[in-house]
Amino acid sequence: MVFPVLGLLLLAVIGAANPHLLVSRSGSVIYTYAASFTKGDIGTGYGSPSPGAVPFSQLEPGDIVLGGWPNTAYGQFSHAGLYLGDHKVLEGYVDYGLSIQDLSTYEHYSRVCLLRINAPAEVKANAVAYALAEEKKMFYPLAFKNGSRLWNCTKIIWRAYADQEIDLDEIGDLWIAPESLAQSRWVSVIYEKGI
Amino acid sequence: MKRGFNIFSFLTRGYILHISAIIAIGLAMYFPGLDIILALIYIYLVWKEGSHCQRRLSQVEMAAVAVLWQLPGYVLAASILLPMESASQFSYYFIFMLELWDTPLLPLISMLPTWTLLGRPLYYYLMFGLVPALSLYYYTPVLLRNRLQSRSAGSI
Repeated sequence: MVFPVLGLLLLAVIGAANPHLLVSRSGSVIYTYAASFTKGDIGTGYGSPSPGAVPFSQLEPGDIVLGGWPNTAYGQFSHAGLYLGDHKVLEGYVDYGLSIQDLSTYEHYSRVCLLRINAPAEVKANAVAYALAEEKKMFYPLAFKNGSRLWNCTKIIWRAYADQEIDLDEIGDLWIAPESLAQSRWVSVIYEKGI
Repeated sequence: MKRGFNIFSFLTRGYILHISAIIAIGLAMYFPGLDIILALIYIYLVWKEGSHCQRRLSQVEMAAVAVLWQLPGYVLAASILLPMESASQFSYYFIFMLELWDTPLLPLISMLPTWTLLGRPLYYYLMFGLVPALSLYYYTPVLLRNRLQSRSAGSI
Protein backbone atom coordinates (compact mmCIF):
# COMPACT_ATOMS: atom_id res chain seq x y z
CA MET A 1 0.00 0.00 0.00
CA VAL A 2 3.05 2.28 -0.02
CA PHE A 3 2.68 3.53 -3.57
CA PRO A 4 -1.12 4.08 -3.62
CA VAL A 5 -0.78 6.24 -0.50
CA LEU A 6 2.26 8.06 -1.88
CA GLY A 7 0.44 8.67 -5.16
CA LEU A 8 -2.50 10.31 -3.39
CA LEU A 9 -0.15 12.31 -1.18
CA LEU A 10 1.88 13.57 -4.14
CA LEU A 11 -1.29 14.45 -6.03
CA ALA A 12 -2.46 16.52 -3.06
CA VAL A 13 0.91 18.26 -2.67
CA ILE A 14 1.20 19.08 -6.38
CA GLY A 15 -2.41 20.34 -6.38
CA ALA A 16 -1.76 22.48 -3.31
CA ALA A 17 1.41 23.90 -4.88
CA ASN A 18 -0.51 24.92 -8.02
CA PRO A 19 -3.88 26.26 -6.83
CA HIS A 20 -4.08 28.63 -9.81
CA LEU A 21 -4.54 25.62 -12.11
CA LEU A 22 -7.52 24.43 -10.07
CA VAL A 23 -9.22 27.85 -10.18
CA SER A 24 -8.46 28.89 -13.76
CA ARG A 25 -8.38 25.61 -15.65
CA SER A 26 -8.83 26.88 -19.18
CA GLY A 27 -5.69 26.57 -21.25
CA SER A 28 -3.87 24.14 -18.98
CA VAL A 29 -2.55 20.97 -20.58
CA ILE A 30 -4.57 18.65 -18.35
CA TYR A 31 -7.79 20.60 -18.97
CA THR A 32 -7.22 20.63 -22.73
CA TYR A 33 -6.41 16.90 -22.69
CA ALA A 34 -9.51 16.08 -20.63
CA ALA A 35 -11.73 18.15 -22.93
CA SER A 36 -10.27 16.38 -25.99
CA PHE A 37 -10.71 12.99 -24.32
CA THR A 38 -14.45 13.55 -24.04
CA LYS A 39 -14.48 14.10 -27.82
CA GLY A 40 -12.53 10.90 -28.42
CA ASP A 41 -9.19 12.55 -29.22
CA ILE A 42 -6.54 10.83 -27.12
CA GLY A 43 -3.11 11.30 -28.65
CA THR A 44 -0.95 13.15 -31.09
CA GLY A 45 -3.63 12.98 -33.78
CA TYR A 46 -3.32 11.66 -37.29
CA GLY A 47 -4.34 12.62 -40.76
CA SER A 48 -3.39 12.57 -44.41
CA PRO A 49 -0.03 14.13 -45.19
CA SER A 50 -0.46 17.46 -46.91
CA PRO A 51 2.82 18.35 -48.53
CA GLY A 52 3.13 21.98 -49.40
CA ALA A 53 5.69 24.68 -49.75
CA VAL A 54 6.42 25.84 -46.20
CA PRO A 55 8.77 28.85 -46.32
CA PHE A 56 11.47 27.31 -44.12
CA SER A 57 13.99 29.67 -45.71
CA GLN A 58 12.55 32.42 -43.49
CA LEU A 59 13.67 30.61 -40.35
CA GLU A 60 16.53 31.79 -38.16
CA PRO A 61 18.29 29.80 -35.43
CA GLY A 62 16.20 29.95 -32.26
CA ASP A 63 12.86 30.04 -34.10
CA ILE A 64 10.20 27.47 -33.21
CA VAL A 65 8.50 25.09 -35.63
CA LEU A 66 5.12 23.58 -34.69
CA GLY A 67 3.29 20.76 -36.46
CA GLY A 68 -0.12 19.27 -35.82
CA TRP A 69 -3.04 17.18 -36.96
CA PRO A 70 -6.74 18.10 -36.73
CA ASN A 71 -7.49 15.67 -33.86
CA THR A 72 -4.53 16.31 -31.57
CA ALA A 73 -5.51 15.86 -27.92
CA TYR A 74 -3.49 18.72 -26.45
CA GLY A 75 -4.32 21.66 -28.68
CA GLN A 76 -3.84 22.56 -32.31
CA PHE A 77 -0.29 21.21 -32.45
CA SER A 78 1.21 17.86 -31.55
CA HIS A 79 4.91 18.48 -32.06
CA ALA A 80 7.51 21.22 -31.70
CA GLY A 81 11.10 21.72 -32.74
CA LEU A 82 13.76 24.34 -32.11
CA TYR A 83 15.35 25.52 -35.34
CA LEU A 84 19.14 25.22 -35.25
CA GLY A 85 20.02 26.47 -38.74
CA ASP A 86 21.06 24.53 -41.88
CA HIS A 87 17.57 23.00 -42.20
CA LYS A 88 17.92 21.17 -38.85
CA VAL A 89 15.74 21.18 -35.74
CA LEU A 90 16.23 19.84 -32.25
CA GLU A 91 13.26 17.63 -31.41
CA GLY A 92 12.19 15.07 -28.86
CA TYR A 93 11.12 11.56 -29.87
CA VAL A 94 10.60 8.55 -27.68
CA ASP A 95 12.83 6.37 -29.86
CA TYR A 96 15.59 8.96 -30.44
CA GLY A 97 15.51 11.10 -27.30
CA LEU A 98 16.37 14.76 -27.81
CA SER A 99 17.87 14.63 -31.26
CA ILE A 100 18.77 16.71 -34.28
CA GLN A 101 16.44 15.99 -37.19
CA ASP A 102 15.78 17.32 -40.65
CA LEU A 103 13.16 20.04 -40.98
CA SER A 104 11.43 18.32 -43.88
CA THR A 105 9.26 16.15 -41.59
CA TYR A 106 7.18 19.24 -40.82
CA GLU A 107 6.12 19.59 -44.45
CA HIS A 108 3.65 16.74 -44.01
CA TYR A 109 1.67 18.08 -41.08
CA SER A 110 -1.73 19.46 -41.96
CA ARG A 111 -1.05 22.31 -39.52
CA VAL A 112 2.28 24.10 -39.49
CA CYS A 113 3.26 27.24 -37.62
CA LEU A 114 6.62 29.00 -37.63
CA LEU A 115 7.24 31.20 -34.60
CA ARG A 116 9.89 33.81 -33.88
CA ILE A 117 10.92 34.71 -30.37
CA ASN A 118 11.03 38.48 -29.96
CA ALA A 119 14.46 38.64 -28.40
CA PRO A 120 17.99 39.66 -29.43
CA ALA A 121 19.94 37.20 -31.61
CA GLU A 122 22.41 36.60 -28.78
CA VAL A 123 19.63 35.39 -26.48
CA LYS A 124 18.37 33.02 -29.16
CA ALA A 125 21.88 31.72 -29.78
CA ASN A 126 22.22 31.01 -26.05
CA ALA A 127 18.88 29.17 -26.09
CA VAL A 128 20.07 27.02 -29.00
CA ALA A 129 23.34 26.30 -27.19
CA TYR A 130 21.41 25.29 -24.05
CA ALA A 131 19.18 22.93 -26.03
CA LEU A 132 22.11 21.35 -27.86
CA ALA A 133 23.84 20.62 -24.56
CA GLU A 134 20.86 18.40 -23.64
CA GLU A 135 20.96 16.41 -26.89
CA LYS A 136 20.42 12.62 -26.57
CA LYS A 137 18.76 12.90 -23.17
CA MET A 138 15.69 10.85 -22.39
CA PHE A 139 12.27 11.59 -23.85
CA TYR A 140 9.29 11.12 -21.57
CA PRO A 141 5.88 12.24 -22.86
CA LEU A 142 4.65 13.33 -19.42
CA ALA A 143 7.84 15.14 -18.37
CA PHE A 144 7.01 17.87 -15.86
CA LYS A 145 8.60 21.26 -16.42
CA ASN A 146 10.80 20.65 -13.36
CA GLY A 147 14.03 18.70 -13.69
CA SER A 148 16.60 18.12 -16.40
CA ARG A 149 16.72 14.33 -16.81
CA LEU A 150 13.42 13.81 -18.63
CA TRP A 151 12.33 15.85 -21.62
CA ASN A 152 9.75 16.14 -24.33
CA CYS A 153 9.75 18.13 -27.55
CA THR A 154 8.22 21.25 -25.97
CA LYS A 155 9.88 21.23 -22.57
CA ILE A 156 13.36 21.56 -24.07
CA ILE A 157 12.30 24.70 -25.99
CA TRP A 158 10.59 26.17 -22.93
CA ARG A 159 13.60 25.43 -20.70
CA ALA A 160 16.14 26.71 -23.25
CA TYR A 161 14.39 30.08 -23.25
CA ALA A 162 13.52 30.03 -19.54
CA ASP A 163 17.27 29.78 -18.95
CA GLN A 164 17.52 33.10 -20.84
CA GLU A 165 14.77 34.52 -18.56
CA ILE A 166 12.12 34.25 -21.25
CA ASP A 167 9.18 32.25 -19.89
CA LEU A 168 7.12 30.97 -22.81
CA ASP A 169 4.49 29.50 -20.46
CA GLU A 170 1.89 32.17 -19.75
CA ILE A 171 -0.20 30.25 -17.18
CA GLY A 172 2.45 28.53 -15.05
CA ASP A 173 1.31 25.06 -16.05
CA LEU A 174 2.73 21.75 -14.78
CA TRP A 175 3.57 20.63 -18.30
CA ILE A 176 4.20 22.60 -21.43
CA ALA A 177 2.46 21.78 -24.71
CA PRO A 178 3.21 23.07 -28.24
CA GLU A 179 0.03 25.13 -27.97
CA SER A 180 1.50 27.06 -25.02
CA LEU A 181 4.43 28.21 -27.18
CA ALA A 182 2.06 29.54 -29.85
CA GLN A 183 0.13 31.52 -27.22
CA SER A 184 3.15 33.16 -25.62
CA ARG A 185 3.44 36.94 -25.69
CA TRP A 186 7.13 36.49 -26.55
CA VAL A 187 6.48 35.08 -30.02
CA SER A 188 5.28 36.38 -33.35
CA VAL A 189 3.97 34.19 -36.14
CA ILE A 190 6.13 34.07 -39.27
CA TYR A 191 3.94 31.61 -41.15
CA GLU A 192 1.01 29.32 -40.55
CA LYS A 193 -0.75 26.63 -42.55
CA GLY A 194 -4.05 24.88 -41.85
CA ILE A 195 -4.86 26.91 -38.72
CA MET B 1 -8.34 -24.51 -6.29
CA LYS B 2 -6.26 -23.04 -3.46
CA ARG B 3 -3.21 -22.98 -5.73
CA GLY B 4 -5.12 -21.09 -8.41
CA PHE B 5 -6.29 -18.60 -5.82
CA ASN B 6 -2.72 -18.13 -4.57
CA ILE B 7 -1.46 -17.41 -8.08
CA PHE B 8 -4.30 -14.96 -8.70
CA SER B 9 -3.67 -13.30 -5.34
CA PHE B 10 0.07 -12.77 -5.97
CA LEU B 11 -0.60 -11.63 -9.51
CA THR B 12 -3.09 -9.03 -8.25
CA ARG B 13 -0.60 -7.84 -5.63
CA GLY B 14 2.06 -7.54 -8.32
CA TYR B 15 -0.18 -5.50 -10.59
CA ILE B 16 -1.28 -3.22 -7.75
CA LEU B 17 2.38 -2.66 -6.84
CA HIS B 18 3.45 -1.91 -10.42
CA ILE B 19 0.50 0.25 -11.48
CA SER B 20 0.48 2.30 -8.29
CA ALA B 21 4.26 2.73 -8.69
CA ILE B 22 3.71 4.06 -12.25
CA ILE B 23 1.35 6.71 -10.84
CA ALA B 24 3.37 7.59 -7.73
CA ILE B 25 6.77 7.68 -9.44
CA GLY B 26 5.28 9.55 -12.42
CA LEU B 27 3.99 12.19 -9.98
CA ALA B 28 7.27 12.17 -8.04
CA MET B 29 9.02 13.37 -11.20
CA TYR B 30 7.55 16.76 -10.28
CA PHE B 31 10.14 16.79 -7.47
CA PRO B 32 13.39 15.77 -9.22
CA GLY B 33 15.30 13.40 -6.96
CA LEU B 34 12.24 12.07 -5.16
CA ASP B 35 11.49 9.94 -8.23
CA ILE B 36 14.89 8.26 -7.84
CA ILE B 37 14.23 7.48 -4.17
CA LEU B 38 10.82 6.00 -5.01
CA ALA B 39 12.34 3.93 -7.83
CA LEU B 40 14.75 2.42 -5.29
CA ILE B 41 11.85 1.73 -2.91
CA TYR B 42 10.04 0.04 -5.81
CA ILE B 43 13.03 -2.25 -6.40
CA TYR B 44 13.08 -3.14 -2.71
CA LEU B 45 9.32 -3.84 -2.65
CA VAL B 46 9.50 -6.06 -5.76
CA TRP B 47 12.24 -8.07 -4.04
CA LYS B 48 10.13 -8.39 -0.90
CA GLU B 49 7.12 -9.41 -2.97
CA GLY B 50 9.15 -12.03 -4.86
CA SER B 51 10.57 -13.39 -1.58
CA HIS B 52 7.09 -13.59 -0.06
CA CYS B 53 5.70 -15.26 -3.18
CA GLN B 54 8.41 -17.95 -3.38
CA ARG B 55 7.48 -19.22 0.11
CA ARG B 56 3.91 -19.92 -1.01
CA LEU B 57 4.22 -21.05 -4.63
CA SER B 58 6.04 -23.78 -6.47
CA GLN B 59 8.86 -22.96 -8.88
CA VAL B 60 6.62 -23.26 -11.94
CA GLU B 61 3.83 -21.20 -10.39
CA MET B 62 6.31 -18.54 -9.36
CA ALA B 63 7.70 -18.42 -12.92
CA ALA B 64 4.16 -18.04 -14.26
CA VAL B 65 3.43 -15.15 -11.88
CA ALA B 66 6.76 -13.48 -12.78
CA VAL B 67 5.90 -13.54 -16.50
CA LEU B 68 2.18 -12.75 -16.20
CA TRP B 69 2.95 -9.83 -13.88
CA GLN B 70 4.78 -8.13 -16.74
CA LEU B 71 2.48 -9.40 -19.50
CA PRO B 72 1.40 -5.91 -20.71
CA GLY B 73 5.08 -5.03 -21.12
CA TYR B 74 5.77 -8.22 -23.11
CA VAL B 75 2.76 -7.60 -25.37
CA LEU B 76 3.76 -3.98 -26.00
CA ALA B 77 7.42 -4.84 -26.62
CA ALA B 78 6.48 -7.67 -28.99
CA SER B 79 4.01 -5.49 -30.88
CA ILE B 80 6.74 -2.90 -31.48
CA LEU B 81 9.50 -5.35 -32.38
CA LEU B 82 7.35 -7.59 -34.56
CA PRO B 83 5.41 -6.45 -37.65
CA MET B 84 2.25 -6.37 -35.49
CA GLU B 85 2.91 -2.65 -35.09
CA SER B 86 0.78 -1.84 -38.09
CA ALA B 87 -2.15 -3.86 -36.75
CA SER B 88 -4.21 -0.92 -35.57
CA GLN B 89 -4.38 2.85 -35.66
CA PHE B 90 -3.21 2.85 -32.02
CA SER B 91 0.01 0.97 -32.76
CA TYR B 92 1.85 4.29 -33.02
CA TYR B 93 1.24 4.72 -29.30
CA PHE B 94 2.64 1.32 -28.25
CA ILE B 95 6.13 2.73 -27.76
CA PHE B 96 4.73 5.50 -25.54
CA MET B 97 2.71 2.93 -23.61
CA LEU B 98 5.80 0.77 -23.15
CA GLU B 99 7.70 3.76 -21.77
CA LEU B 100 4.84 4.51 -19.39
CA TRP B 101 4.79 0.85 -18.31
CA ASP B 102 8.52 1.18 -17.54
CA THR B 103 7.96 4.38 -15.50
CA PRO B 104 8.91 2.86 -12.10
CA LEU B 105 12.50 2.33 -13.26
CA LEU B 106 12.89 5.26 -15.68
CA PRO B 107 14.30 7.64 -13.03
CA LEU B 108 17.27 5.29 -12.65
CA ILE B 109 17.66 4.79 -16.41
CA SER B 110 17.62 8.56 -16.92
CA MET B 111 20.82 8.84 -14.86
CA LEU B 112 22.80 6.61 -17.22
CA PRO B 113 25.21 8.12 -19.78
CA THR B 114 23.60 9.32 -23.01
CA TRP B 115 25.25 6.66 -25.17
CA THR B 116 23.79 5.80 -28.54
CA LEU B 117 23.79 2.52 -30.45
CA LEU B 118 22.80 2.34 -34.12
CA GLY B 119 21.55 5.91 -33.89
CA ARG B 120 19.24 5.27 -30.96
CA PRO B 121 19.84 6.15 -27.31
CA LEU B 122 20.73 3.48 -24.79
CA TYR B 123 17.50 4.01 -22.87
CA TYR B 124 15.48 3.00 -25.96
CA TYR B 125 16.96 -0.52 -25.84
CA LEU B 126 16.65 -0.67 -22.06
CA MET B 127 12.92 0.04 -22.34
CA PHE B 128 12.57 -3.37 -23.99
CA GLY B 129 15.04 -5.06 -21.63
CA LEU B 130 13.39 -3.83 -18.43
CA VAL B 131 10.33 -6.05 -18.92
CA PRO B 132 12.15 -9.44 -18.84
CA ALA B 133 14.62 -8.01 -16.32
CA LEU B 134 11.77 -7.27 -13.91
CA SER B 135 10.33 -10.77 -14.40
CA LEU B 136 13.74 -12.29 -13.70
CA TYR B 137 14.29 -10.05 -10.68
CA TYR B 138 10.92 -11.09 -9.26
CA TYR B 139 11.89 -14.73 -9.80
CA THR B 140 15.41 -14.37 -8.33
CA PRO B 141 14.42 -15.40 -4.77
CA VAL B 142 13.50 -18.82 -6.18
CA LEU B 143 16.91 -19.12 -7.84
CA LEU B 144 18.62 -18.15 -4.59
CA ARG B 145 16.50 -20.65 -2.65
CA ASN B 146 17.44 -23.44 -5.08
CA ARG B 147 21.10 -22.52 -4.83
CA LEU B 148 21.02 -22.54 -1.03
CA GLN B 149 19.19 -25.88 -1.00
CA SER B 150 21.70 -27.49 -3.35
CA ARG B 151 24.57 -26.12 -1.24
CA SER B 152 23.11 -27.44 1.99
CA ALA B 153 22.38 -30.80 0.31
CA GLY B 154 25.98 -30.93 -0.88
CA SER B 155 27.34 -30.25 2.61
CA ILE B 156 25.41 -33.21 4.11
